[in-house]
Amino acid sequence: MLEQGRVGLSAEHLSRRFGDVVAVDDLNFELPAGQVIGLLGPNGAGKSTTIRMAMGLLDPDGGSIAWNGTPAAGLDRRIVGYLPEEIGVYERMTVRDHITFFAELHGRSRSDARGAAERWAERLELPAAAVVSSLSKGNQQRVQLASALGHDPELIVLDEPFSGLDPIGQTVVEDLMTELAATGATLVLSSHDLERVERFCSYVALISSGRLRYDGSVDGLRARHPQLRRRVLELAEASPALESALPALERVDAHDPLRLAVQLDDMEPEPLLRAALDHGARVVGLAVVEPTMRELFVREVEAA
Amino acid sequence: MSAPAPRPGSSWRRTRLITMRELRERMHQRAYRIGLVVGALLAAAAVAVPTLLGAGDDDPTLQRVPVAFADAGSPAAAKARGDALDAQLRAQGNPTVRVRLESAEAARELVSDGTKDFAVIVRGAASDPRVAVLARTGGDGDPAPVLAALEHLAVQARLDAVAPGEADKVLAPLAVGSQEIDSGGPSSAATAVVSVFGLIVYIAGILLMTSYATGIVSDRAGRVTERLLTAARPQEHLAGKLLGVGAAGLLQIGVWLLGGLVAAAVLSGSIGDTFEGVPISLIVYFPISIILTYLSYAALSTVLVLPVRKTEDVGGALGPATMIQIVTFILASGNLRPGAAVPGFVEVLSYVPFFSPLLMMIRIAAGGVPFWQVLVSALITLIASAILVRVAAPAYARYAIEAPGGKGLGAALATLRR
Repeated sequence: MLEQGRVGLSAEHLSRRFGDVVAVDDLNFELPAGQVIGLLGPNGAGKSTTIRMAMGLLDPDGGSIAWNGTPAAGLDRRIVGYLPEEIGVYERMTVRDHITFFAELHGRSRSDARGAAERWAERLELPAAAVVSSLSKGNQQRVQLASALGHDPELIVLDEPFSGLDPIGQTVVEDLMTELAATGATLVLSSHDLERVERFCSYVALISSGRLRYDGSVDGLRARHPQLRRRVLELAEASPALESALPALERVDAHDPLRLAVQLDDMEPEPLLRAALDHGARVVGLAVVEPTMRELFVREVEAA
Repeated sequence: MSAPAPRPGSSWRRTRLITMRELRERMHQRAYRIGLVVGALLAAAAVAVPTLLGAGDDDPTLQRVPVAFADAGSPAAAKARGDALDAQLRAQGNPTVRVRLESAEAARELVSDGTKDFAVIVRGAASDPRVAVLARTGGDGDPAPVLAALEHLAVQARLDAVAPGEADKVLAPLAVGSQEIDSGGPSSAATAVVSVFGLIVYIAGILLMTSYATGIVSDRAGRVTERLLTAARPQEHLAGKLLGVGAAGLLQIGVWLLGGLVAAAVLSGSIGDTFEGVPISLIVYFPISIILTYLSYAALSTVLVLPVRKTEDVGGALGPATMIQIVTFILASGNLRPGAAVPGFVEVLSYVPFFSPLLMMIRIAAGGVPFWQVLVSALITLIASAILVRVAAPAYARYAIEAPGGKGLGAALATLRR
């Protein structure tokens, strides 16, 4: 059960096979509403299959997945916005017509949809009158994103939204995600871009081999791996003597002899500093470093 | 980004939106617009060129009436009387009516097999002919010009031998008897028109089915289906596609036909002349036949293209449907003869989906088909098409999501079974 906030997306004993391949295997989770949620997992973990079942595009073989208690199959399509992993657009339509079409299809009136199309084209810096096929892949991705958001959904699922975007496009989408999060919408972000997930997501669900490995806050995930917290010693110049004297010290980067780290609980700061000075090392800094999302991810997946 | 709450959307609304999107997209394509104009011009040329080049004995505007001089005595005598009748017809202002000299038996056969609407059999001498008109039931031929010419020739022949005071004999009316022959088959005019109609239905069926099937494969391969299905149900997507592609295609075919009709009207003087002798029910059923053909074959193609990965492979996947269309066309062509009754098995097949739109048209051309039979046949096709789309839609959706690029026939069958 969630410790705080109401449940948004929930799965109970969810499973799905494709022939002999088990894509999702007895998956259970409760994700909070109104937050940005990172859906993580290695390739083939079952993320996209889970998303497609959440969108009502695939039927589960067993179990259920629901939004606010409503099973995905019976979900009102007006409240969901979905950006698939791959670009799928009507290339012969104009940007304006494309966004309008999907907004109308999701239940908006023609005039509302037209207004939304203009707004979203402007917001995502797209030429409204341009034919989609004339746009770059990155801009087609933006058209797809605008078409997923034109009807102002309350559950927004973005599968690799930064794929194909140049740095400027990535910044535009990042800003947009921040805005959407502020509106109170629930964003589910599936991505391999762990730095972005760390930056945007207050809550993560990690799936591997079709099973849930973790769901909770990013801090909670860190708390599961205290051994990944490190004390980092920064040196002015390399000190082979120190490295050989203290085998527990490891280079943060194998090619960088100036940053050496030790597990937080292995050594207190004082003995560490003393050892460094005793071996003639010139210390310029000492800090506690939290594990990155990448490190946490790798550790969780390896443990699975 | 706050906005008014979305209003409720109905299934029909979503279907209509998809239909209109398909229609608009096609109508905005340059290739479609060029095809519209070029097709109309080609249709006009197809009508005009043979007519303009076909002057002379093969002039289709000539009406050749079978006439038998049963008591002429010799072929030479019969030919002389035929030539005299031809000359008299021209003299009386009927240059398009010609005598086709036949034996009495052959003339009767021409009417009974539906080749001709009527024939004239003349017995007795030129001065005292007894004329029998054999008319096909439901035929629209008019023997009056031939009868008037025969009467004139008889009066002339009598004048040569008449004695003073016997004017009454000269002016004696022509003895004319008539007999109706029920051939049970289509008239020659209906046969000609239904041949053209059948060819158009056949071509339109293949063109529109391929266009629809290519469209759904293209949507799936382009991954847009996945996005679309988050907003619309699979059957709404397919129905919208079916109606949109169909509407665009029918509009195109309609413009092409209009081009042909205008050419025919210009050459013959009026559109009415073009369809002279053709049952109105046949003309009304023609567009219905195109629509039913398209709906049934498009529905079938939804299943057939499930394993297709690329749009260029659509033609091959549609092979079975194309074969059925070819067989239907051959059945229709083979059983379409003026005056020939429609065989029983064709009557049965005129209720069977895929066969029925074209074969029912053959039956209508032959005449005597009750309206309820046409209605039942059309309803069976409509219901079968709807069931096919309804059954195929979930499989199409599953396949679009699980294997958008296609995974072969095995995977397609697996999605159908699920």
